[in-house]
Amino acid sequence: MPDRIPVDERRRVVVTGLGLACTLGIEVEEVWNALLAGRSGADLIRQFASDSLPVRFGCEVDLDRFPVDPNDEEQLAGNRTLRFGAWAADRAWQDAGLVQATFDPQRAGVCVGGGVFPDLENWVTAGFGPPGQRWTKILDAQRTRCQPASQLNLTVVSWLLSRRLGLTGPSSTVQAACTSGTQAIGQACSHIRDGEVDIMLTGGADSMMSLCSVAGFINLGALSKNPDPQAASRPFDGRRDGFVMGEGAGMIVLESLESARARGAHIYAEVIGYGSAQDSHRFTDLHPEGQGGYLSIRAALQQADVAVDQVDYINAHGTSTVQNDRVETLAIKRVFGDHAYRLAISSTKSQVGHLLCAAGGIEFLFMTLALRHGMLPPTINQEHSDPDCDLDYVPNAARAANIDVAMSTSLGFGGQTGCLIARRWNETA
Amino acid sequence: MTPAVAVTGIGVVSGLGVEIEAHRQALRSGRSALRPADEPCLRNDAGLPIAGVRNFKPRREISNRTLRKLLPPGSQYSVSAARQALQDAGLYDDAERRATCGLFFGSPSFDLGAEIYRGALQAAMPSEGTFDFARFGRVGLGLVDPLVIVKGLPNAGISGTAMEHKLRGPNLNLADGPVGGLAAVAAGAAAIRRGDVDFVVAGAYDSSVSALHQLGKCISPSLTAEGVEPAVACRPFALDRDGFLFGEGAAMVVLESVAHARARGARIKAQLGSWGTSPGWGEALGGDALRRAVRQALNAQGSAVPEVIFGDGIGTIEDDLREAQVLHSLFPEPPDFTCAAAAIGNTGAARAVFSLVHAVDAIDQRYVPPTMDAGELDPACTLPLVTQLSERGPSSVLVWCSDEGHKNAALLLSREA
Repeated sequence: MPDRIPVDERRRVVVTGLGLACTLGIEVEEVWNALLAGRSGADLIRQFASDSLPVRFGCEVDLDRFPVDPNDEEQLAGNRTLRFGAWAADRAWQDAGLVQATFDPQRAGVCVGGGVFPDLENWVTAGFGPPGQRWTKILDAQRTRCQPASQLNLTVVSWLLSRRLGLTGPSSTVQAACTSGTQAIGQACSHIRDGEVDIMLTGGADSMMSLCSVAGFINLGALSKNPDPQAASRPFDGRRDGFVMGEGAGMIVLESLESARARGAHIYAEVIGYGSAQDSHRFTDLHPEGQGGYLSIRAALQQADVAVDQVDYINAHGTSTVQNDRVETLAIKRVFGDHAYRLAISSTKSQVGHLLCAAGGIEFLFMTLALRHGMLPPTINQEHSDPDCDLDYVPNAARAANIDVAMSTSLGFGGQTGCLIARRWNETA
Repeated sequence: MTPAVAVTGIGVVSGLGVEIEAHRQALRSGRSALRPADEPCLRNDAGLPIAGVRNFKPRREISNRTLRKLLPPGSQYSVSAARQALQDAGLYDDAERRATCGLFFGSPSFDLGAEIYRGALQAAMPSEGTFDFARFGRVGLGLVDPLVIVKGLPNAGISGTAMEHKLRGPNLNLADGPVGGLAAVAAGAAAIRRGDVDFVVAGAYDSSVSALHQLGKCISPSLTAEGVEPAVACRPFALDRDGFLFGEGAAMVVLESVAHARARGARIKAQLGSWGTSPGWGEALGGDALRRAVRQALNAQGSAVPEVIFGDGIGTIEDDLREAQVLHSLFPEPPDFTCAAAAIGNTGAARAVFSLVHAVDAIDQRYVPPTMDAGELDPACTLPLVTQLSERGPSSVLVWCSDEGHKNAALLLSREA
């Protein structure tokens, strides 16, 4: 293995701001309280007429909750990913006390996971005409209605946030499918650790809640067909049958410890480790032994320089698909051995659904709150045991726990995996 | 002491060739890959010229049959270019060591055409202009390809490359337009410097030659509309330039620490230097942000002026002007400048890494590839363009890339110290 920079010589990275948008709300406190109360945000999809589909529910964000700002309307071009991302970014920036703060904009950047899916059903109302004419018809519609570049161009997600906050440091959009948010946070940490910048806005934003993408996931067999929307997302439960699509954003402000201390910022937690790896197996199937998850957890532990028995809590990927939850459990057992049975693990996807490219961002945020408040959010809908999923998943009810070290894991389509480790902030540490 | 990072392998798939030797020879001889497209396009019934990849044989390049079926063309090119780069570095044959390889890619944002939904959506339209959701559920849904989500994954290239070659190391995929590939290379180098990984394959790929991909750009005036001879349709910095043309391909490098390369007796092609990046908006679109990125790279490494700049030169009025102005504002005596878009088209997300590979090869093989001579230079773009092959190999170069001024990056390279 290569020689690493010793832990005590590294720049320390801390969390100083949080912002989110998800089906349970658009303010951190209200969402956290709903999570602890064990509420599910799943309901019938309202954005399009879903009643003819075999799966007609999801964890939608209520757009009516967002304040209407004409400048935003122009900037965000009706794009839900951008809207959620911008909202959560603004809130995280405010939470970190950076709106009025003085800092070098070149020493601050953006690294976010983002996803877009073109609303093809809107394009198509322009008509797929006969060969030779069809593109012209779509072109005419595009001229008058929307901007295909911003719909299809992921670079816009990070660029727009950089512009919004006036940051001229690194600006990048990570696309690692469901691992995007986690890898974005890991990369943002690296920018700070390497001394390139002092402050990073990071996390993820995504919405794939459109007819064509929901149809794609239905035919892939990935979505739960449970007739009761609120019981459908049941990670690690014996009767799980697929995930529930969510949407939204989870944004985090990371900062070097020196920068945070210099401006007297409130610190939520310290990020101490990050690891990524590849399953190298199949696009939608995980490696049967959870190789990618195993390797990324191990890499994160190594970077954090913590022993396995120091980890108290994992906010798991826990999608509620039969395969993911079994394989993820196996990977956790491979890494932690007997300690796997003493860990607390929860999947907040049971309540907010799968936010896809934003999942890693919002789940890291929830993990940070668990460290901050000493409360573990539950995995709801735990009713039936599965012999392959026999760990402590914090079933159905939140739990108080004095945790010091916590982890957030992601396993994405395509096999990219990621793991982040954070430590409860102790001012004397 | 931060370890220095070396480039020890390169691989390409482009309109000029599906391996580095063919690509290099064509580039050196000033040939263009731009040809009339096979299919008619929006503006030109004869087809806009494109620099499409030819003679790429998926069966020869990709052993995994499922990957051949699922991966879109650009991702297939990345699988091939990554293997070439690893083989070139002498790091392919040892499967156990190869498994630890990291992957740092720049990718296109969305690699799926609307055509894939055509049947399903048409089935939901009993009459033109109306969309019947109930009919979609009854009839259209059954016509949606079950693998449509997988086929459209923006991380298909990095994932397919990992699967084909069994690479399991740290990884990152940036969907950041033309700049993303260079940012991915910088991130891979940083991972090596931190000690996270011994070696990585880094680069980018794109395939924007289909009609749908061209759709968005056709709306903007940036795509050249009235190409003359395809081979000279893209005319960077020329007085009569009128836009860019699409190319496709993949460009990859293998990075490792200089110490690691030396320890295993590897040939070091070039050494990576410092890096800068900055987004731009408003007035910065005019070049301030690119200037900032270049200054960052130069300041981090002292103020030495590179001998050659490998830039974009995509042939649009504004983009070329921006590059020329930045060059003059940064360097009182501008270094030589070369670019490859006239030869390989605008390769989208792969653009900056093609420039990087050309720069590495220039240092290693001691030549500077020419920018295709496109006639009279625009007086507003009087830059020292390399229009003839130069056999004077540079020892220090700067690669830069600007995505219409929105995102910008610069990376220094040098001959091994």
